[in-house]
Amino acid sequence: MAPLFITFEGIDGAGKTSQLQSAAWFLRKQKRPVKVLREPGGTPLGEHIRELLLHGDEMSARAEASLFAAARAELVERVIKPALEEGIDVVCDRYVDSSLAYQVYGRDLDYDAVAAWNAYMVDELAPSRTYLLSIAAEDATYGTGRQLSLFDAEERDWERLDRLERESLIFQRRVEMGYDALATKFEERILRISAYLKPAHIKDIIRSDLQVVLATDRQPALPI
Amino acid sequence: MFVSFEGIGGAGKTTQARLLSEWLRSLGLVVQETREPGGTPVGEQIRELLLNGSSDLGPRAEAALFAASRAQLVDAVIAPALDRGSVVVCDRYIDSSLVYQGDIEGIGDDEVFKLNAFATHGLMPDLTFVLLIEPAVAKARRKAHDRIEPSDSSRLRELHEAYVRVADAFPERIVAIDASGSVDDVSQLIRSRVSLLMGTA
Repeated sequence: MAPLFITFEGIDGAGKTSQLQSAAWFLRKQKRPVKVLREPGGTPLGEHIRELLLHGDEMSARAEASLFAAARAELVERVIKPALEEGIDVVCDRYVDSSLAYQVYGRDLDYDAVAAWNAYMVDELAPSRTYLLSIAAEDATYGTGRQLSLFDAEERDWERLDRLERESLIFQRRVEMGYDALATKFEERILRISAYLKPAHIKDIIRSDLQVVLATDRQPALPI
Repeated sequence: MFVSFEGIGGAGKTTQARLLSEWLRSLGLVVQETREPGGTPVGEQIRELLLNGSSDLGPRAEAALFAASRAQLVDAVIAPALDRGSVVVCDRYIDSSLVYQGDIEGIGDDEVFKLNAFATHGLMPDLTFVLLIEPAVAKARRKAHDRIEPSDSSRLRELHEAYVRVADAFPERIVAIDASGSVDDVSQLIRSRVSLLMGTA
């Protein structure tokens, strides 16, 4: 059976990480070897770039998109492709859809340019399935369980947020709308799930979908 | 006006870029000098990754890092300087990618231009000087070596030949200069070509 390449997408606070862990655990229960990855990161270069992106100096949208792409190129070449070739499932926290949602919809870069750039960087490798956890920006929480509202975020939490998190909630809303557009455009690949559902319910939806994906032996080769 | 300098390490890029900038300033022009990769705080950190980071970067990641540095340089330095009416003199620009990624890594010129169209918005130099010098002479001149400016003779020969090819491919923008002469002679040649450009611009 062909290995799976599963990605999780959504704005920060949508609950990607715990659902990703749960999906990986489910695949392992099926006796499948699984590699869990996150972007940007997962390689020495990727971790350096992650540092630059999160805590480095100000940069333009195109520089940021290029750095994400550099980290992604390394991750695909050094980790994801070798794993898939060995028959290992790969479950990745963020992938090309993040660049399209954040840099195209969020920062107004050209869709075709970012898509073409990324397709080249990942050597056309697309996920077999993508789970998009969808939530309104003002309802997303930042890891500690704090609820941010549109207005008190700036006063109360600004100093505790890193550079990417500091993007305004308005920006997050644009990203969320971008994800919606991507879910429509790639409806075969992306399963959009409401993050307002109970976590246990979301977990069940993903598991039953994974069972279908496994039964249909979906190949990780769909065009991006 | 946007002028870039290219060539293998030891060809004299940095010296000639500085001399040209000084001369342009003496004419009363405002000059923005910069270099690649680098030229901005983020760019210098990327330069560090490229020069001293992991030695086995994939060609795609390397191309993306150059592009990231270039995108930041264009957005934060070059485009604003040109908008202000300054002259920009840049030590390395897109032709370095044509040589390093296009030629040596085998990505090809078309692919490099495609990738750079994204990073640069298509901003190209008005004039590019490729300083050509025998690799053996360059090696003797150049003391420090790194990933981009290696000391290995066969590698230097490859880079030299790639620069000759790139210069031949874009004769309208690129002036190939024999850089084996004295610093003053080379500098005079460069001034006369820039004068020509300023006269016709």
